[in-house]
Amino acid sequence: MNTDRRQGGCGSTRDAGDGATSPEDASTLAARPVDATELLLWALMHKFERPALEHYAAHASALATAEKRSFVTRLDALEADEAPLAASTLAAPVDELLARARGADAISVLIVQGLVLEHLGQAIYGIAESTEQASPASRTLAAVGRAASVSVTAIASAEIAARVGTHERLYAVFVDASEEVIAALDPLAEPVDEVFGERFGLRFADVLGEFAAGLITACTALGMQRRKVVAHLAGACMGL
Amino acid sequence: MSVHDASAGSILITGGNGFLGSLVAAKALVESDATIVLPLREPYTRERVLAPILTELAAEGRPPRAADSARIVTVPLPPHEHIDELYRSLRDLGVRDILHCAGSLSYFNVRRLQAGNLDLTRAILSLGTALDVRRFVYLSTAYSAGFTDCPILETLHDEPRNDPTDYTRTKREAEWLVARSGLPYVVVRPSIVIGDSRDGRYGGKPYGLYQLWTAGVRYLSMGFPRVLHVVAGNEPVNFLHQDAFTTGFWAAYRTLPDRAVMHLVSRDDALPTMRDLWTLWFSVHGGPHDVHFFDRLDTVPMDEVAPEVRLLLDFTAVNNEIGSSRWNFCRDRLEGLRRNGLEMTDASLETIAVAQRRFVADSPRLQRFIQRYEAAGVPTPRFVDRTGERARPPGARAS
Repeated sequence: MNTDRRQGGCGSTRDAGDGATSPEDASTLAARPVDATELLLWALMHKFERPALEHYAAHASALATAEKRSFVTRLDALEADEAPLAASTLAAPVDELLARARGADAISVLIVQGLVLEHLGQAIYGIAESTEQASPASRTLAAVGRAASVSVTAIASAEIAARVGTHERLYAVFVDASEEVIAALDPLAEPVDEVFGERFGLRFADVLGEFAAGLITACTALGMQRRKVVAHLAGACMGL
Repeated sequence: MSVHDASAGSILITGGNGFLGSLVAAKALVESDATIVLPLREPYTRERVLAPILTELAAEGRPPRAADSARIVTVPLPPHEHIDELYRSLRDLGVRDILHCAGSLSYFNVRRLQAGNLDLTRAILSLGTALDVRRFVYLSTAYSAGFTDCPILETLHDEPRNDPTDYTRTKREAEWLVARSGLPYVVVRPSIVIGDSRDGRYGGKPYGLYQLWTAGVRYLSMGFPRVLHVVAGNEPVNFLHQDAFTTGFWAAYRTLPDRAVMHLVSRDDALPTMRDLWTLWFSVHGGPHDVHFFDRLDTVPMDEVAPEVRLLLDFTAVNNEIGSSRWNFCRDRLEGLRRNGLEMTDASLETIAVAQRRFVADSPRLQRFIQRYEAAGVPTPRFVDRTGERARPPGARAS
């Protein structure tokens, strides 16, 4: 899990292009993950992705990109059973995180959903895409999910800059909008390690590391000071 | 020893919902007969705020009594622009002293710092003026000086060359507000407060040393990499046990003359360095094969560092920067109190080990980590000093 995907820039335009246009093996695309843990992962991501797309459609339509819509349709088609997820230790912290992500205005949708949670998704997809413990079907799906997410964050950053501004002005808004949802990540730590760690190689510390790196890069690109963003993430993640 | 009689009149304590404010409130119950007035804002309720205060009393060997609870009066705290609405009730309660312990500890959220450290202090000062209080004690921080190479005096500070955070800047500015208010004030500047020296109990959020320990538990929870890169300086880090904090704070309130500023800090003699603290940490469960010590984050070769360790380095960067700098606090006021009988335990590696043992015992996550890791870890890592390496270009640093 020590492969550093940041070298290419998780949120870079090059990645977005690569992910969106990479040739996909038709037989792999047709395949459906069958492993129970993998299906639980996709049920989990569906639980995030479907409401996110609905939020975008309602409050920030530019973020409902073709890639994102197509990806959510694929997740819909999986019809992954949510019952194992609901019965797992992930259920309560996931519900809490989703509850905190239900912003009803464009700015909070842009920041919480379009920036923070999309970067969380990119971290998860990035790790799932690169782990050899996952099936080819899941790895392909993860690659598509990551590309779809990158298509959203690129637009979200531009929209945030246009609507809120950049640098210090944005930092103050970003901190207020994102604190609660970032604070809801830590309770996921042990459930993620317990459910996905052994089987899937997807561990919370790795996810958080990739998430923080991607989000920090996006924030500094918007003019926010790196050490301030890091301090905010650290404070929110550690309950300060 | 007392020059200030707290027995007559009530004591208003702000920040009673926070860690240090609750310790001060518990101390006030033990040391005085006064009514303790705690202003509270939602979501804090009387029950929620009383619980840790009474727990602290019990930990100090005084089982909570109904009379203790009855001596605590809670009042709703209005927004700072309407704080004068409190005047009448505080006057009727006979408030004569204000211990202003409330504040924002956010490092860089300027809006919160402005509201919590400056606007609120201004409002409480205005209330103190209207009440004609006998004493206004302001709880500041030893780090309000900002970064400086000079001895840090027990006087109000001018602007430093640099501040570790906006928090330290706003605490310094608030000290000036207090000093210019015309009220009979005392400023108390504690260093980094950690658990009790006797049993290690700690009711605060994971700041300071606890941030380092908590980050270690959370982000290295699957084990150490073979080589662990850490930023840890060779300067003594000033920790203050919570029992020393309460004893020192109360003594300052009761005995210092007006317009006094006091550093409430441990003596330097036995203070550990950040490297000592890492060594102590590894003594719990072994460690990686090699530990590489750096004195600054920008000298760490991030291309050699595992992603989860980058997160640890990033998340602890501000505290590591503070902990790796030399802070030469003058202690004349505190030494004077100690000569006159004040007893307090200075922090040392030995007493910090007590706090660490308590932290480990109270952390199920760490217990599981230790169980998992004990089989794979090495008892004593090899320590490599990489102090003084040249700063890396930004591209070679974290994210």
